Amino acid sequence: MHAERFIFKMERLPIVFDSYRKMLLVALRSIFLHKLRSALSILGVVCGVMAVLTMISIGEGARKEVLEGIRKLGTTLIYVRSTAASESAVYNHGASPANGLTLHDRDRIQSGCCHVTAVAAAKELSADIFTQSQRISTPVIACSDEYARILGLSTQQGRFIKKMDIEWDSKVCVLGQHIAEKMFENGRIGSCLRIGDDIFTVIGRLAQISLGSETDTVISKRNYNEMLFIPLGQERLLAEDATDNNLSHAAGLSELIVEVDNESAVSASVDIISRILEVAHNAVIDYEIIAPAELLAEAQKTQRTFNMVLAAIASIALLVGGIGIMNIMLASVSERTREIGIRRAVGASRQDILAQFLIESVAMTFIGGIVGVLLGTGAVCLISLMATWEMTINAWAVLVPLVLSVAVGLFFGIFPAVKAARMEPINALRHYT
Amino acid sequence: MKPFLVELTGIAKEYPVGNKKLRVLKNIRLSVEAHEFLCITGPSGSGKSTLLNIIGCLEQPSKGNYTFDGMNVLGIDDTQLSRLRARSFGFVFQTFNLVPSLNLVENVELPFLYSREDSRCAREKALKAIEEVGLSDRRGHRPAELSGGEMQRTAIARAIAVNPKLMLADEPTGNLDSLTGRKILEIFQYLNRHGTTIIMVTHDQQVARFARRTLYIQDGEIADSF
Repeated sequence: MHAERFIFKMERLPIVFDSYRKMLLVALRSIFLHKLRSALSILGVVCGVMAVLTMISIGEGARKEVLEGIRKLGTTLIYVRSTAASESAVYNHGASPANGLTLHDRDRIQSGCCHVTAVAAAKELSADIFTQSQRISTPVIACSDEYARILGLSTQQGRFIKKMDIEWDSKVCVLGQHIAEKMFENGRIGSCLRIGDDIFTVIGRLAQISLGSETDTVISKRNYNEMLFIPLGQERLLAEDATDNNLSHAAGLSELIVEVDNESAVSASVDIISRILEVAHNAVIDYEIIAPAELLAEAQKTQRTFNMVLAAIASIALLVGGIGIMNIMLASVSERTREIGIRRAVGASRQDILAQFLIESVAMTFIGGIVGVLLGTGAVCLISLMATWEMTINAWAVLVPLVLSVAVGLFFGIFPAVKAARMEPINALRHYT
Repeated sequence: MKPFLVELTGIAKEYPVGNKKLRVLKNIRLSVEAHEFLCITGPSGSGKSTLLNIIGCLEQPSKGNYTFDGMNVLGIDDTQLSRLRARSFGFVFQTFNLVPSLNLVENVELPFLYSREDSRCAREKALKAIEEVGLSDRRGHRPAELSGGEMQRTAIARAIAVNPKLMLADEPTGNLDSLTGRKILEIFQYLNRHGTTIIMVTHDQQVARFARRTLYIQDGEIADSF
């Protein structure tokens, strides 16, 4: 019996769908019959949807940019950078100003923290490089052999600095892509360059490194294309020529880059490294510890807050749009009371009337949604062009506003629709407009 | 004995007016056989339209029993009442009551939307009904483009398209000139001869003559039947 009833209902399904299709056509006709009124009523929804789409796109673009920037720095890396200690800190702890980071710190970190797989040390200077015909001022990085591997730098030609270069005090150098191009023939492998008063042999040339966006993150990614690399230890030859701010820390390192075995160990490793350095530096904080993974988590947290703010703003816009729709639907119900009576008299049930007005309000907001998506896409392209922001329109940026527009139509259309459905047929028929 | 199509017993209708109750119908007892052409007549405010609305399930009586085609219609829910209206009743009103945004064919098709009739079948039935009332050449026109007589013929087409068991007409000629009104009544007679049961309400004695039986209502009670 139940099966028979089910089959009967299934057979009726196309006819029921056809009824709703006709209701949709009636709704569209009603919308287009009063073009200006409909256009003005959906304006709020259009603005709301535009706001949602634009904000999702801006948010998504900013999120991608920030996250990509941080991710490029390596989420399993911890940067320990030398900073100038404040005089009060030195005075309070009775310690002499430390030399910043040293190779001893590197060894302590390597041996004191079980998650650490490698530590690269680097000292950044600025020096003049002389070829046969040129003089080029460029940043020079004196680094340990692990530096390129940890940062994912690869060579296009030749090789990077090896452990033996450091042990043997080899006067060799590796050129960044752009600096090598600037030197023409002198940038070839085997060429000799004068850096300061010493002659260095070019042993490698880095592959081109994509810098991504121009926007800086908390720790900017260096432009390695413009740099020159020498073995750690050789920087003492340049110290007299060095012109950067690190002169007072000539004996120290600029940076230690610590690689840990996995992303989840970053936070714990930061604590351990912090403790090791605190002890080693007599509590003088002449360094800073930056963990991209923690920055990533922080950025994601900030992004969530940003998203919530965006959602709140978009919700207000859609709420205003929804109230507009409710207003116009109430007016429409009042205006079409007699029509409701006619429909009820010829056989429309309360559900049919409810469906009719709900379909109308959803159709209206959906049209508003489509217009909003189109205008929003245009606005995103325009903003992207004018402000040179990276903005991403993905499937979510289109789907979410459309679904929201339908939801607004349903939510704000339900009250007028229920009001229409509750009318007694005879009262509706007696209504005079 | 032939079963009655409409059977009303002890029907009363009261409307609240302020703190008082206005008694519009009092203990109405009425039976209508299939294929009858009944006219309910009486002075203005006598309750004839209310009686017609109760018969057409457009409003509920305050008291009494109503059986339509053997079914107690006072015990069924709103959805079933709606289906009953869609399939068994055809309404013709004094003010035509056509949906202004729909054209003639769509207005005639309207009941089929709610009786969940197949589109093609609905269109065929609608066109046949339009042809019967002689409006085939106006089927694409909207109500605003039709004359009063044409609008009323459209309403009749809408009523007969569903092949109703009962056609209910409330002052069908009230808004028409005498010649057009006569044509409408001739259509009613034609439909009745072909088997449609009709209950018509009018205050006009000339119009009442077109029916086979007349009920005279006064002060909410059936005063006479002839």
